[in-house]
Amino acid sequence: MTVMSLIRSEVTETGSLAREEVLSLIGEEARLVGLTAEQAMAKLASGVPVRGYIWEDISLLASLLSE
Amino acid sequence: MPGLIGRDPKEAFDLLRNHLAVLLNGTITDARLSLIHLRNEERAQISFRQGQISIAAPVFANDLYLYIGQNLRVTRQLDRTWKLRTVEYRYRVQGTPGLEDDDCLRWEYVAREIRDTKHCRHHFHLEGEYTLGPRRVIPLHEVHLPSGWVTIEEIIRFLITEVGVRPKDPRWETLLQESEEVFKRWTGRDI
Repeated sequence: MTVMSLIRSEVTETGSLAREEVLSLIGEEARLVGLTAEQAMAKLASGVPVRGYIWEDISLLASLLSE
Repeated sequence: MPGLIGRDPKEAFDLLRNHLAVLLNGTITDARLSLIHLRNEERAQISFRQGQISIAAPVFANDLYLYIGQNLRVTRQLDRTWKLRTVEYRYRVQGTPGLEDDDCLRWEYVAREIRDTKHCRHHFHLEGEYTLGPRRVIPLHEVHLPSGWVTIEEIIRFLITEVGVRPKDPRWETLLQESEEVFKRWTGRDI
């Protein structure tokens, strides 16, 4: 199976999520860098430099939840 | 008045997501864009996802990877429809699918209503340093190089014409131009 067909078969479209579910998504991504959702959001808020697209995504999701 | 309008927030978000998905899947990648709409609120995010996790998507017949993230908002109009705008974008082109790979080209925008920064809202980063004159070394990953609004169409065009990404469709240029016409209608912006 090629990378392209793997992507095609596994990516799913996501719909409307509750705040807790978005927080859970952040948690899934934060886990990949060894943190919890809360720790990841605290790290972003602290201004500590972060690396990689996963942090872009965590930041965008966290921004969704902010007032 | 121009605008990307929906009868409800989700319809407006879906319109943009579907438009960009068709464009990206027609030109450079098979990865699917996911829309995450915060239920009962006027906010959403789009990015490529594999399962629940965002990915830098492989682009067609090339060894490059593209991360796209946008945060969207809608506001209610007098006629009770909902008008969409992008309040943040992050586009990143990198040489590996690595989620912490920072050796990349990055285009970013953050609206002042999201983060009130002093630097240029629309900007560009890349790796390395640039020596400017005899005494200044500029770290290019830190400084915010002004860029103006960068569309996904322009990112696709850059990938195809400058870095050897093979278009999936020989009509890619027409597809981009048609998409840019839609963008102009939605935003009232010239490209």
